[in-house]
Amino acid sequence: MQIVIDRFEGDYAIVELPDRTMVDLHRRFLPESAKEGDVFDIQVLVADSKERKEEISKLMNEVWED
Amino acid sequence: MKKQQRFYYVYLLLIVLAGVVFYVSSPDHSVPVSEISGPKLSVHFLDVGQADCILITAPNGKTMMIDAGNNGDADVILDYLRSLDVDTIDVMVGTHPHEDHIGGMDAVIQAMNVDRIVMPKVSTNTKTFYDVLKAVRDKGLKVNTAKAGMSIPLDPDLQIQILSPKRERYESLNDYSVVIRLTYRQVSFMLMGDLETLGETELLESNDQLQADILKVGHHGSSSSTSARFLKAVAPQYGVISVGAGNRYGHPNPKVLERLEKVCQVLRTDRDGHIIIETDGENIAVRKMKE
Repeated sequence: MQIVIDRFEGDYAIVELPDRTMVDLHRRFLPESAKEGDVFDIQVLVADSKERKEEISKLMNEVWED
Repeated sequence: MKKQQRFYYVYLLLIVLAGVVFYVSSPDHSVPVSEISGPKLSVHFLDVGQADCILITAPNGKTMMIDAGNNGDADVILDYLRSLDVDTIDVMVGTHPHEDHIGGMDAVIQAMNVDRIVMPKVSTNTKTFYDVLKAVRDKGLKVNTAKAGMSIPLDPDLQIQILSPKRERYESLNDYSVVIRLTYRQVSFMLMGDLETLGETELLESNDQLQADILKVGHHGSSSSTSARFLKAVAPQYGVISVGAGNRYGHPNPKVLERLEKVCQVLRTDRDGHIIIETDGENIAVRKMKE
């Protein structure tokens, strides 16, 4: 899903979703260089998600008693 | 004194007291709406939440709209226009292409007869803006570039001057805001869009006449706008803030509010609802729809 920064107000960027719904996004979600009109892609990183899951499972197995 | 007579005096006193209380508690010392007679200019500041939408009805019956609320505000705006039997917007102005100013513009262009569209020539990447351009194209209309020095002919008795944008390029979209000074005989309105301090400074450095009776406060009362110097130059009797209740952005800014309250009466769409200011060119009457 692509989102577009419409404007900044205070601590928030107001972003437009593809159906023109507007959402407040805290500035901390965005790189400091982000500016009005910038388009971002929201997508699931499948490989990264899997890698994290495996890493955490491994550590769980190490620390769990039962 | 007879009992009946005593009651009579008590009643009389109560009526006089009620009159005094009514007069003193009336919200401003402008004239009541009934005293505005003959050809009048009405400026409606619509309550569209955290967004701007201003409707102007000229003494000759022509209409002009400045901004059209958020994406979700089309119904509020169109219902309001229909309640006034308005089916034509002679001039549609988009102060700058942020969604809280052009959100309902595509719907207004589609639903109304629109004669002329004026916007600063600047682009943004939202679908909101794309849809406005598409609505303009589908209606077979063209956009005129808003530039300082332009005047908009709507009614021979009105002066509608564009004071900003003064440059062709700015960093941020708010700086492109179309600023309109609207004058009917002795009464002037200064309508700021989302102009910030940069643009206010440009106005102060120009030869433009800035004094106005009514100031549509820039950028929803944000700290970015309404500098002390600028407010002093405008010296309004009324300051109108278009703002949504409980917004997260700190609008209006308490310092700006304090600055305004020292010099003028503040009207706010979040508290007052739609605000209608009417004038015969001399007297000013204010109506608040939430009162």
